[in-house]
Amino acid sequence: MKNIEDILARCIEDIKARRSTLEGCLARYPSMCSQLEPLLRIALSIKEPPSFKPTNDFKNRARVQLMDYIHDKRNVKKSWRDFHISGIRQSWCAGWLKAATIVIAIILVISALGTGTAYASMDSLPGDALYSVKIGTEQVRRWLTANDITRIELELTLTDTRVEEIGVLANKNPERITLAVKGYEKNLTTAINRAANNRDRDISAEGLEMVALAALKHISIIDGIIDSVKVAEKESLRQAERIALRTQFRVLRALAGEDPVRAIEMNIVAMQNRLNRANAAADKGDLIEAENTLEQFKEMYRFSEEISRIPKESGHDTTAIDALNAQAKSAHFEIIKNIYGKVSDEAIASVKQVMGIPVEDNAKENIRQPEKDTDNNIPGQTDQHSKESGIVPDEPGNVPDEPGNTPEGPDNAPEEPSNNPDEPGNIPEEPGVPPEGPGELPESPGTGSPPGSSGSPPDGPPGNGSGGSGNGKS
Amino acid sequence: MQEERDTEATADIDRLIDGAISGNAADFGRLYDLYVERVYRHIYYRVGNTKDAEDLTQQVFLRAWNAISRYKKTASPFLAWLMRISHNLVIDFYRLKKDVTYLDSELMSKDSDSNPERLAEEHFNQQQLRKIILQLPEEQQQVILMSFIEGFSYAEIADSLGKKEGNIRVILHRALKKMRQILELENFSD
Repeated sequence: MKNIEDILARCIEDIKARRSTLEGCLARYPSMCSQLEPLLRIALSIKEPPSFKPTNDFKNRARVQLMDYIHDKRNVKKSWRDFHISGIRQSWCAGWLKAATIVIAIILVISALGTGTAYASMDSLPGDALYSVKIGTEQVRRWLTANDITRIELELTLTDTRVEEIGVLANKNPERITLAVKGYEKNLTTAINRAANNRDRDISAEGLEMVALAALKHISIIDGIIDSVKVAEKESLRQAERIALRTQFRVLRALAGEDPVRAIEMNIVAMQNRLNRANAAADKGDLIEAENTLEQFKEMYRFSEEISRIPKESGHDTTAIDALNAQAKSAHFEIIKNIYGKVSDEAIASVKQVMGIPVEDNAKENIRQPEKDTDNNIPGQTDQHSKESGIVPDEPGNVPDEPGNTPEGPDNAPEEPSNNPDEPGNIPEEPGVPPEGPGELPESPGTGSPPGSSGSPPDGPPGNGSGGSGNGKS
Repeated sequence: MQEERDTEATADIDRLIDGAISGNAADFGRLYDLYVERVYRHIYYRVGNTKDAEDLTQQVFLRAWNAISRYKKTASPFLAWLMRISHNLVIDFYRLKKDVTYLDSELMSKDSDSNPERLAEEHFNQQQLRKIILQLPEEQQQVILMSFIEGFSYAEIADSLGKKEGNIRVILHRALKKMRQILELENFSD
């Protein structure tokens, strides 16, 4: 080692590693002492800066924006890829048979439109004479849709139609609501199966998230319908809400394996919606609805704990998740404090118990606050997340008046959680959500049954109930 | 035992990097969790204000995601690659904001030292050094920061900057000489 550069570098290394001192180094190279000393003194005075830490709020916000950016970018890429695959290669591979089917389908649609029957059937409702024509037309639309994502979107559009029908029937022919609920369940199940069983993991994950967002939206719409009908009709509407809730749990559970932050964010928004609704119902003096909604919140809270364990158990860093949950807990507790005194003490106590908040004398005003991260404003942050990621929590009492009159549709809903979801088809099913066909989706052993369901399956078509092998791949 | 844990952590990071390269957004999200504070700190040191540091930190990770498919594992850690992106972004940032100087911006110390005199002196020295470092040519800045602030070895810096280790020593020497000159000039003008 002869030159000054090497000697300087060596000395710095040795001093930093405490193998030598400044004086020791200078003594080792007496001929270079005058050159070395000032440089070493400057070098050793450069220290790590004090701990400048970004705020948790920034870290979480930036993370969400980063994931949104990734998902958005991938969606753009995918749409081009789908164009090429479905437009060129897939159509060639499908061969004459598919082409012939499409031609026949087009002829059928044109014929139907020509007679005006199909058009007339568009406004028909379950139980109407023309309703089968409407369903037939929907089937033709399925045949005409080749792209996998578009097929999921179509199915979700049809679930929107079913919810609209539920809304109209609720005020017009409430005795027929059950028929529309069955149709809703069928369409929703088809959408889940199309997403879960897709061989392309990207499409599968994206489809599942679309379904979760649709279910979230439907719950909000059905809330509005429940508010507008008499007590006698409420139960069949609650059945539809339970189906949407089960769907949401099922899909978010699958999503949590790949993108736990996204899954937890969506569940947090759903929980906030429940609390806002409970608060609004309590304000109106509808204690039954308020307490029923608090039950749903409790179920979602337990579910939140369940999906938060998934990344922990697989050894991943859960800092962001823990922060999200802590913030959400704090924000949720703020809303619960507003409900305090409007519903029974037992209802509040049971919610606090589920949340792990000490149950005190509810007559006291000073309910203890859970630990709160002072860097973050939770409700605002959740709102921001929601706006940026397409999930908008409902304002308290801001329930859409008309079914379908919602701020977002499936078109703007999809967002890709990851390109690497679990094996398609291996999604545990919530009890009572029937699969499309045998072997489509395995059922989970009864976890996460939504409140009010009492573990009993809905009236829809029977599930396979086999706890199947999960060979959802077709 | 510590070594074992380090090996496990490295293997885990390697797995996350592989996942991110193959397009797994969740794995990239975990890398973000691991490195966001280091990247932020590096940038904050250079721009000296929260708003720009936050903005640039976000851009680092967006750029990293866009380039991750081209990332090749080398002797230098993944963080060194992120630092290189940070460095380029900070350079672009200063080029775009030629009229703005951030040299005078104060780094807010969160040091809990209870001796106010020592704290003030230390703060003054670090501020002065920071101003001097920020006057160095870009490459020299990068080597000084990676070596003294981020604690990378010469081999890691060389690998990260695509240079030989000997070159890094030469740059380091020039940087320290330049710092000495600036310091002497400042003392003279005072």
